[in-house]
Amino acid sequence: MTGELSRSMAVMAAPGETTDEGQEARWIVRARIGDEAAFAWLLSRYRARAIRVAIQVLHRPDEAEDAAQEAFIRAFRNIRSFRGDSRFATWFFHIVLRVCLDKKRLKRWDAEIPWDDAVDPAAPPDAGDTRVVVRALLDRLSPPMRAALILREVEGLEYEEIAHALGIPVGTVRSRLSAARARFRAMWSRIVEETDHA
Amino acid sequence: MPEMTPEEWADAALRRELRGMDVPEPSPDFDQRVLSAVRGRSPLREVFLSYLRPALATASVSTVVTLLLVHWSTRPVHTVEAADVPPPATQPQRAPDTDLVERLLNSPRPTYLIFMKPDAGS
Repeated sequence: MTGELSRSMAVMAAPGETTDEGQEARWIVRARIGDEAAFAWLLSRYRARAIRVAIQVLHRPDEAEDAAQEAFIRAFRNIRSFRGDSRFATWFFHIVLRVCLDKKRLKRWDAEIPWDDAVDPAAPPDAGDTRVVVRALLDRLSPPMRAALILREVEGLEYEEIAHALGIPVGTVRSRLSAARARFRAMWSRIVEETDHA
Repeated sequence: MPEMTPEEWADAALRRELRGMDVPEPSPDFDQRVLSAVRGRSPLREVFLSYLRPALATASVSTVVTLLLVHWSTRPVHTVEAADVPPPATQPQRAPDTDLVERLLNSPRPTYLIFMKPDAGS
């Protein structure tokens, strides 16, 4: 068993990685043998991030917390299936997004989700406060677009990692992010123009 | 400093807002609920079983193979039943050629000479 542990550790804590990742790899090895302290460490590291991603997808803080909790439970129960082929964050966000999909009763991210919960884009928000405007515009993006944006801009995941987390091809990630940014820019420009006219 | 285009401004605003987004404080028992749900399963037992599983699988496969071999090697040897053997081709038995025998016995030359080459006895 010790041999297996050290092998896993060597795989996950490859030379040249940051101390943070090395530390995380050591905790993951401990979590794999059911060490509760390791679970607590991973919870403290990923709790807020999981909730943030889930909020972007589900749009409801209470539901997002439930989703994050469920994702942690699934991740810890199946942590032995994490072999270090990808970063733990990628593997974990895949689970978070999977739980969010289940909550939205969707099978895949592939199919573009209809803009059911989006506000009418024809009615731009008041441009008084930039933060309010940005949030309002973000709300008008579809959940997969928001998920891809948050993974890229906040979590700093690479396109390949986002593709893995969302379970979609890399090309789709690129086009989705590009579409999300283009849409955001278009709405932003319109608001700026209207504010200038006013 | 060069002025930002509206697109760049939009991208920067989007990035800034996404990164600065507040995350609601989770419930105080968030961790506890997760840990107690995970604790419900015995991770050590899982680990033990996961190590034992390949050995058990190998053992069961080899047991099955051994049983098959034993079964095959102790099977009754297939003997040829008398009924399975086709009767030998029956050749019409010719009646001894008594005339020939008589002639040979009565001939002046010894019987064995008939098996010799004609010039051997001369």
